[in-house]
Amino acid sequence: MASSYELSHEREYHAIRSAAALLDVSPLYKYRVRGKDAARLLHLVVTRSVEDMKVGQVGYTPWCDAAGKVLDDGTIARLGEREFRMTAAEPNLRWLEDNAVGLDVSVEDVSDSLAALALQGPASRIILEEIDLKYFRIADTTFRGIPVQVSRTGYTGDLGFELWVRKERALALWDALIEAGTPYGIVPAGMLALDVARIEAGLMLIDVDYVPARKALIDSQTSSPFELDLAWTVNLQKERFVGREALAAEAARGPQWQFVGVEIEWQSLERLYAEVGLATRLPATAWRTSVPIYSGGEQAGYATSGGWSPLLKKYVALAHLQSKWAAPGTGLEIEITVEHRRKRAGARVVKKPFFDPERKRG
Amino acid sequence: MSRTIVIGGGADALVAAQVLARGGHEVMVIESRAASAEEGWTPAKVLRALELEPVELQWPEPWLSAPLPAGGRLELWRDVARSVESIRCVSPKDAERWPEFCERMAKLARFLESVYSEAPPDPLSPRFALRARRLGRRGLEDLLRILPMPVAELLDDWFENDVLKGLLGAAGVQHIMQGPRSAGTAFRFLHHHVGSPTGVFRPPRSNVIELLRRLPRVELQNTEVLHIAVRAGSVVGVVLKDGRELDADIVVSSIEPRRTLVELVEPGWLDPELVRALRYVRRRGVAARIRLQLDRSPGFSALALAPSLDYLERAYDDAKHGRVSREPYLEATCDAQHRMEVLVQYVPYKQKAVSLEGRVLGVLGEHWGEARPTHTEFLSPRELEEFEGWPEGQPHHAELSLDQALWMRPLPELARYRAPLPGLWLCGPAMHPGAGIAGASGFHCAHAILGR
Repeated sequence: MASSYELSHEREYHAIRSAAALLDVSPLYKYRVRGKDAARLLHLVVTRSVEDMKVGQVGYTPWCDAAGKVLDDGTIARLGEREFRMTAAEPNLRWLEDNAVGLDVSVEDVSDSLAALALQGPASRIILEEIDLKYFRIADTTFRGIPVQVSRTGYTGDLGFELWVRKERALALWDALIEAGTPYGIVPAGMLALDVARIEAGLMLIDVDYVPARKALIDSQTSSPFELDLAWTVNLQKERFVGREALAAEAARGPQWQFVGVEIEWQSLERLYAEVGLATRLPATAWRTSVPIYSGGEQAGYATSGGWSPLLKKYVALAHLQSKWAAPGTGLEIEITVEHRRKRAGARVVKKPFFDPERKRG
Repeated sequence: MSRTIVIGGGADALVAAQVLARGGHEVMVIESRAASAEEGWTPAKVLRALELEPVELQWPEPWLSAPLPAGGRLELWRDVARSVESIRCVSPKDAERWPEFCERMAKLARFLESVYSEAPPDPLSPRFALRARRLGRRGLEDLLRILPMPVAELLDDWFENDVLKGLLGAAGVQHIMQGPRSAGTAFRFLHHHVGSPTGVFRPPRSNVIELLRRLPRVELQNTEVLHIAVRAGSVVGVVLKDGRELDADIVVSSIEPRRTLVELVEPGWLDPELVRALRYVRRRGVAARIRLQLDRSPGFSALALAPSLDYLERAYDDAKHGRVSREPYLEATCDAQHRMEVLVQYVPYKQKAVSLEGRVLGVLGEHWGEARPTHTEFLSPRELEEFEGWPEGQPHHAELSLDQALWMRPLPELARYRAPLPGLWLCGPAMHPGAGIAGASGFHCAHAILGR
C-alpha cells in the first residue's frame, strides 16, 4: 500500500473525513471458503459465532491459537449458505487448512485474483450512486458496468465501503471511481492518512499495536482478545473453537491488560515545551513506537501508536495498560521527548473510538 | 468404578483391558476384527502381571536360511555353534566372528528390552542415564554408535559374505521405507532382535493373543466404533456403527493415533498444531503379504531371498522412486501344516502391484522343489489396510524410526499415552514400544491411567 500519493498525507486525511478517499487495500490476504462445512470451519477457527451469520452479513473478528492468543484479525463475509470470504493481514492458508482436517470444505487463496478498493468518507455513498447498504453488509452489484461486490466496511471509522473486484477489472474500477468521485473531491489516499484515521477510530493494527502469536518470541509478547479490547468478539457460548478453554479461563479471572484510548493533555505538553523556550511541537505523522506510560513511580503500561488528530484537535494514542489503571478518566503520565530530554506529560484514559460520527452506521 | 471402553482387538488393547479390569474398571473391548496371532515378543513383566501361561514363543529351525549362489543353503540356527558351522562353508572369517557379534548385539537388545518394559523414559531423567551407564563403556559406545547407523555399515564392519549380510540386513529394513544404507536401520535391526535368544535376529511368533482372549473379566463386543463422543471438551463415550451410543468415563484406543484423533474425534476439539503434526507422522506400508497352502513341505522352514546388501538397496531404490521393486526382497516362513507366509518388499502403498504375485510365486517356486500351492492369497499394502486395519498397510501404525521412537513415539506430545482430550488414552503399535512388541504399550497405557 502506498504511504502517500502526494508530498504530504494531509489532504488525503482530510478527504477521508470530509469528502472521499480511495485506497488500494488489495494487499490484504483473502480466502474463499466453500463447501458443506464452510460455516463450521470458520466457526471453529474464529472467536465469534459464524454459523448464525446471515447471507450478506460481514463480521469483524480475531482468531487465536490453542493458548487463546491472537494470531490475526480480519473480516468474514457470508457470501452464501456455503460460501464465505475471509480477509486477513497475514497469510492464513495453512492455518485454515490445518483446521479443515476432517471437514468437507475447500479453502482457496484469492489474494492475487481478487482486488479490493476502499472508498471511504462522507461522500462515498453518493459516489456509489446512493447505494443502499447497511453497516457491515455486503452485496453484489455493478458500478458503471463493472461487476463488483460492495461491503459497507472499512478501516477509517467513517462512512465507507470496500469494493471487491476481479483483478482484471480493478484498474477500470479505480478509474471509474475517480471519475465519479472527482465532483465530490475524491483523492487517492495511502497508509499515512489511513494511520491517522484508524487511530482516531480506535482500530488496532497488527505488528504495531499487537504482536501476532506466531511472531511472538516470548509469551509476554502475545495478547488475548480480552487484552485487545475485543471481548465483544469472543463467544464463549460456542461449544468449541480454537483457544476456547484458555479464553474461558481468562474470562473467569479477568484480563491483566486492557487496550485503551489515551489523550495527552495539551496544557501539560505546552508547559514542557515552554520550559525550554519552544512552541509546542506535534508529530507530523502518526507514530508507531512503544512509549512508556506511568502512574507516579510505576509503569502502568505503554502506548503503541498515536498522533495528532487534526479533526479533533487532540493528541491521542492507543495504549496497553494494566487493568487497574485502565478505567476511563484515570490520570497518568506519558513519556515525551522534548529537545532530546525525556519528560512526562499528563495523559488521561478516554473511551475509544476518539472519533465516532453518526454517518458511520447511519 | 470407572466405565472404560477399549477400542481394538490386538494384544495391546486386550492387555490394557485386563490391567484396567484388575485395577477396578468396568471394561468393554470393542473390536471390529479379531487380530491374528501376533508376531513378536511380550515383556516378562506383562506376562507375570496377567499370569499368562503357558506362553509359547516359536522360531522356525533354522530360524532363517538363504540359497547360496553355488548351490546349497546358508542356515542360521538358534544354536550359535551350529550357525558357525554353516557360515564356515561361505566364510571361515565370518564364522569366527559370529559368536562375538551375537553377544554384542544381544547385550544391546537386552538394554532395549528393559527400555521397552517401561513407559518411555524421560530423556532428562537421571534414571535413564543410569540405566544406559549400566551397559558399561563399550556397551554404551556400541549403543550410541549403532542406533543411528545404517545396518549395511554395521554389517560391513563385521562380515564379508554377501549372503550373510543380506539375510541379516533384511531385518534392518523390514516394514520400513528405507534401505540398508539409510541411517537408523541398525536400530531397526536391534529392535527385531529384542526378545529373541542370542544369535536369532527375527522376532518370534507367540500365542499371547490366544491366552489373552481366554482371560475373563472383560466384555468383548464385535462391532465398529464410528466416533468417539466428546462433550464440553471431555470424552463421554463412543458411538457405534449400528447407531448405539455407549457411555464411558475413559476411552482407550489401540487404533492408530491419526485415525483416533483426526477421524474418530470430531474436528475442532484438538489443537490444530497437533493435528498438523499427526498428519506428518510417517506410516508408509512397504510390504505385500502372500499366504499360501502348499501340498507338501517346501523343504525349508524359513527362507530369505535378499542375496546381498546391494540387492536390498536396489529393491529400495525402486520404491524410493515410487515403484514396486523389480527384484523384491522376499522372506517366507512355513509351518508344519505347509502353510506359508511370504513378505514381499518393497511395494509402495500407492502401487497396485499387478502381476507381482505371479512373479513372486515363480521365484519361490525355484526353491520349494516339488511342492505346489493349492491356495494363495495376495494382499498389497492397500488391501492390508482394508483387511487388517493397518494404515497405508503399515503394521506398526507409525513407522519405527529413531525420530518416532521412545519419548517421541509417535509424537512427543502423545508419547505418555494420554491424548490431549480428558478421558482419551492411546495404546497400540504406534505407541511406545509398539511396532511388534505385543501388549507392552497397552500395559504402560493402562498403568498411566491407573496412575501407577
